[in-house]
Amino acid sequence: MSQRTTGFSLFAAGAAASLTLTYVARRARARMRKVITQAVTIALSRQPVEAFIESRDRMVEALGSKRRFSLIDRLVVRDAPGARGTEVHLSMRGLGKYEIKEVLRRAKSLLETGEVPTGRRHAS
Amino acid sequence: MKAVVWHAPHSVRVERIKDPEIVNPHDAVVRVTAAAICGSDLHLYNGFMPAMKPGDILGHEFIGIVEEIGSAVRKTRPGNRVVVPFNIACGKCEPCLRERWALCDNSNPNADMAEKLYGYSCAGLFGYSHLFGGYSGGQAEYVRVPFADVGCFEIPDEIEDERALFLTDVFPTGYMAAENCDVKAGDVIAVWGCGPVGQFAIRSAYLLGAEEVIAIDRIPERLDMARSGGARTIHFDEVNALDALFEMTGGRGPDVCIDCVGLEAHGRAPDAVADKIKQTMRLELDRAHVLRLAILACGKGGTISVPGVYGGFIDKMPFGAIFEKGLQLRTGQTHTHRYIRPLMERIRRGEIDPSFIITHRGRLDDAPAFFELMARHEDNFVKSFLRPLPVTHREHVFEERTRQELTQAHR
Repeated sequence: MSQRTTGFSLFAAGAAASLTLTYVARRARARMRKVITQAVTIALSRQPVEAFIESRDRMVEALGSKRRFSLIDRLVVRDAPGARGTEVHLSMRGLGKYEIKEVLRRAKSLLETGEVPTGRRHAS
Repeated sequence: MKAVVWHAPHSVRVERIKDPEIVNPHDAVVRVTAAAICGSDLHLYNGFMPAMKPGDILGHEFIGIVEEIGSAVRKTRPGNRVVVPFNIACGKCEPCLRERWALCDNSNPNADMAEKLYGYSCAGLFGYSHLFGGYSGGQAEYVRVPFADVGCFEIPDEIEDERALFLTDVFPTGYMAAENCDVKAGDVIAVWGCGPVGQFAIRSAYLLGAEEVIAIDRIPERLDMARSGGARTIHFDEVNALDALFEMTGGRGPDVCIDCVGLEAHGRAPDAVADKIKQTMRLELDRAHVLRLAILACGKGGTISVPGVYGGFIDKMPFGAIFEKGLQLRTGQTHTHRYIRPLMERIRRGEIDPSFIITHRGRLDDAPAFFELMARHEDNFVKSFLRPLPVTHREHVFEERTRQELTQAHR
């Protein structure tokens, strides 16, 4: 009786684990497939913005890693209305909304101010 | 260096920590020569602002001398005596270019946190939680100032520290609150809260041409200070403020109501009691009793100006009164950078001496005791003036000379 109970418990635990893993893997695959678009307006003309995008080093600084280049689905640059600068619309897969916003924010800071802001008090 | 460090609600200590360094190319490190505790620091002290962490350095009102600059700093030089606005602005983004400095796109490194709460992020602030960037504050011997060319304003020699310090926040905040009212000749302005911002709002309203200012508070010494600034006063524990305002304005109501209180309003009305209970139970962030009163008290077609700090979601808001009376609501963090030079010029011309607000002087070590006094409204506390480091002999001689010259000029 005890052996049967233990066997059933092991089977149940195994089934639960495999179901969870399947669910997590499906979510991860769905996330990889899902394309999310975010946008930012940069208070500069199109020329420096396009030059930034064409520079691999500067883009890596904004993206946070070289690996993320492969996650870019689409990147659209257009003039913002009312001479407000340039809109950048970035579509990426495999990253969440706030991660893409963070990439755009870093790019905007680098373009507009030349640095990424930080609240740190020490250089290292 | 020594700094005022937040550990938990009602627990701030002066501690020795590592000096700040240049981190980004546009940074400066400023040796703080004077600092103050702001009324809005009490929201952190009392634990009502989210995203504080033990070890955070407080303080967003400070002036000092530039010690070191980053490689990209062009205008600010070491040795400059500077006033630093409480909000941090890059000077390059669209809001900064439109002089909406408090809405800077680039200065809040934790913008995602603020976006989740407010939809969009506003500028980073010194010493005001990780929601606003997690920047260390100026209640310290040294402070790192990002975007130094935008955020360091040189102080003319003839303006001593005591008259310059309040350009960092409370004077521009009171001034913008009054300016937001579009004061016209004949206007009557009601100001709730006679703390430092309220006192500057009263004086700024007169500077901008208000006919009459009515100040509302319950602390006699603050009401006295308001009267010395030219205001008529209402003690809200002694009379019903709405009835008194109705009578004092001939039944029209004030043309403008300024809420200088913000999220920690006191009161005995049912809504104030409900707010207090909900805030204690962490079901609500803001006690907005004064804002509701201001909306109800304001005359038809009037303006509500809100310099008092609010941080979250407010219920029981009489929005019907705003709509039916056609009120305008003007609010926001102060665009301090816009006001420092014109207000410095008013100080230089002798139109106003902001040092009238100082009631307590001390060293940085006195800050925890001052926080306690402020929180309890004891010892007639209105505003502190802290000296983080002993001033140099040259600075001391300069201050003494200026003070004597001013005394003679007043005679």
